[in-house]
Amino acid sequence: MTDYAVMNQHLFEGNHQQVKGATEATLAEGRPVLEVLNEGLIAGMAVIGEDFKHNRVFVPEVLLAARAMKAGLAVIQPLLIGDGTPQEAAKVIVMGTVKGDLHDIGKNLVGMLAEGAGFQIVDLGTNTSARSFIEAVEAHDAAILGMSALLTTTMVYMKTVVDEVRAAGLEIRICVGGAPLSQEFADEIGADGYAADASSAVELFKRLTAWPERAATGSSKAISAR
Amino acid sequence: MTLVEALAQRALIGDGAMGTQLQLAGLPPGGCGEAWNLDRPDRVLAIHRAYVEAGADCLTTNTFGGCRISLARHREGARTTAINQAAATIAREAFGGHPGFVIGDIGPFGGLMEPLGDIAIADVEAAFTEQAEALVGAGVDAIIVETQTALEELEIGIAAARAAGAEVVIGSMAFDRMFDSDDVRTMMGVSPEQAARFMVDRGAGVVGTNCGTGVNMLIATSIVARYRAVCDLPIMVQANAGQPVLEQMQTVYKQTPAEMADGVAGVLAAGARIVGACCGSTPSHIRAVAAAARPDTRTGERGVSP
Repeated sequence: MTDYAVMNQHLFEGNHQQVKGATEATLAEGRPVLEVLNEGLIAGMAVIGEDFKHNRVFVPEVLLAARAMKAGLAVIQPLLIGDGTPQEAAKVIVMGTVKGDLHDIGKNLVGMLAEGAGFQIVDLGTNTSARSFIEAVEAHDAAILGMSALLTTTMVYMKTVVDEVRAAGLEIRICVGGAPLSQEFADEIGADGYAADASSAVELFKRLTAWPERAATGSSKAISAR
Repeated sequence: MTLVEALAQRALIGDGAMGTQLQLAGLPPGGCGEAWNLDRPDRVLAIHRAYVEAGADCLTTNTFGGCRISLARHREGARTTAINQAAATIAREAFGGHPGFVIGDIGPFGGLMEPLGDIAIADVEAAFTEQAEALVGAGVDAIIVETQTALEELEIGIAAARAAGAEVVIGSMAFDRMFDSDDVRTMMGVSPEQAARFMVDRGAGVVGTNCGTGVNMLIATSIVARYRAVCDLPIMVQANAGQPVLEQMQTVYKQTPAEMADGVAGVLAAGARIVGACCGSTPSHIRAVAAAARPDTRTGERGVSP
């Protein structure tokens, strides 16, 4: 019997084996693939993202939950591609840490939470040049370009990227984040959005892409914050 | 006199930022500042000397990103031992024969260990051991394992420093201000009380806090008080010069030396025994901090002149 609340709780606790098992069992019961994705996985990640934002959980819990989510996603993804269900193509986010900067913990966290919210992530890694960003945005028809920097010296390269992306005439929303950044900085370099933490970043992505609220509620209420 | 013996007698002044000073001295964005210990030792020495002249009793070596894992990102891994040895030598030289303490710096390796990330625990142990041995071998008075956010990595750093024979080991955590309160935790969720108890348990001789987001001297003072409530060890504080802001595409730290100095009396009263500064601070900040910490002594006369 399908119980998304239990599945969400397993995801919240980072029990990746249980999440994988529950995903398989729920699908075997004949539940629709998108329902399992939305109510089982995305709803669970939404809760941990919200708790992360409010400092009820921290980076380790988010990483473990994201790993559990990926275990479930690995079961679902082949079916999403093959079953012919009419669906909106996942919006693509191209992201990377800017040139000269090798820090990626924060960027990876944003990627995991965004993937958990249903976006498709193209991660260019660290030390990414404006040219690499532009090529990836074009190749993947991305909706959002996300840039990260941890250093006060490398964050200024974001302006170079913004300028070159605009000069290339690309229709894309540019979002920036990283410890030394601020909304003022984002405004000054002409970015479309800034978020102070990974959870807010996902909200920003949804807002900028007018993402429909896909995750069902109800089941997620059963999850308690630790 | 050892660092701990000195701390039993009086509060000491630490130094200020190295990274932002290196950039002012011409280090390109994203460049490997630690490699300058070998390639531009004169510039590193000049920065250390400026801090000594400003009144610093303790110098932290230019080895924050000096473990093999961090250096390898700049293709400098092969020079790990030489870079760390040179750093200790340069810092000692900066005291110019005057008394002062050289603190060997071990920063975070810059990734996530298993099981959260993909870096093997054994690799981190090997990297910190190699760095600690190079620093101790070159004669540092203490080792600081700083800007730590995870107890697992802190533990490896402290153990490596102790095993290498460091006379004093300082553990220092980077706390961030929480979303909707003045409470602080590290990125990995560690509270000041947890951190202090853990460092005592693992054999640190000094417990510290440095860097962090939204942590000014006032918040740092609350962290010191929370450390003091659960442990008796000397406490070290290195606060940032505020949050950086952008001016004409240059990132600048706006907290003035006077503003930083305003918090010194409070942090000393809360129990801090070493007061230095972190990102964005300059010799002027340290001069102001030293003056505030020792209103009865003139600063600026120690150091390079024989």
